[in-house]
Amino acid sequence: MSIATLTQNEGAFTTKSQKDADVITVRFSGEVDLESIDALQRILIGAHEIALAEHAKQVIIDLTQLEFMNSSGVKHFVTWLRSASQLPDATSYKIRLVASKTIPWQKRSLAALRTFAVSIVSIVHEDGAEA
Amino acid sequence: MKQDKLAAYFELRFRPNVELVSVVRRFVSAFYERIVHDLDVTERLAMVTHELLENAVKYSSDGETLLSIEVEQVGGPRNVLVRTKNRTTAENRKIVTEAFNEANAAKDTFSHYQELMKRASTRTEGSGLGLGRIRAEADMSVAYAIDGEELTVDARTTIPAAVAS
Repeated sequence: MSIATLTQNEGAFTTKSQKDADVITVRFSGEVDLESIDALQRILIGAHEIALAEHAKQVIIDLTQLEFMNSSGVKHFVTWLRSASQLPDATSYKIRLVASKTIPWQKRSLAALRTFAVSIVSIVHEDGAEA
Repeated sequence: MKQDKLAAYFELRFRPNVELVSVVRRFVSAFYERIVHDLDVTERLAMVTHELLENAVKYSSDGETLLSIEVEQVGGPRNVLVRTKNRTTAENRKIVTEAFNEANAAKDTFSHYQELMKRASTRTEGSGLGLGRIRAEADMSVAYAIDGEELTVDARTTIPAAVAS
């Protein structure tokens, strides 16, 4: 699996990805609903697999253009975060979730998600300030 | 007529499918923006509407759902009700009843939501998170009623006078 597979266009949900040194970045745009939920699952599983295969130190998920995410999206994030938090130190990677200051749901949902992987997840705003 | 006493109301009967849920959420978002001048509140109401409609898609036995939104002026604040009504099977009525019984028995809304999230990560079908998310993230109360085959789910909140237009 290559980093290019993390760039997708699934209706109202699109993603762009890049890899710089040992950091994988995926930018989400649009909306995650029942139509695009399978795409979200593929992206998160893919990011996890690429991070392990390429010994990445960090995965950044930029949500600043993601207007909406349904509860099935929350479920897939929980699944990913729990998997990543259970990795041994040798393969472990950090996760940075970048939230928008102007999309209020992100603050509530991401705070709830972070509780599943406190030691590896940080939540920041687009300006780098801690959210 | 009850509607005469409401500050605003909205009713839509439709046969939901996956695509229509998001279309309706965007549509009612514009309605909410007219009655509430607070992005956080309008977003919470839109999320609740979306989660209720997704459940309706999942649980409706004939595909049809009635969505109604009522806004009642109570002095300065406004009470908002988001309701879905649909026919559903006995098996799904049992699932809904069990979900509400468990939610109502939980002492802490956020802890219950976290427990649901943990369980969701091992589910293969659906998330089972809608009810918990409405209560914990949108801070709205949720109730249900069953009349024969018909299931009604109500989500309620009060909007402070400061942001109610």
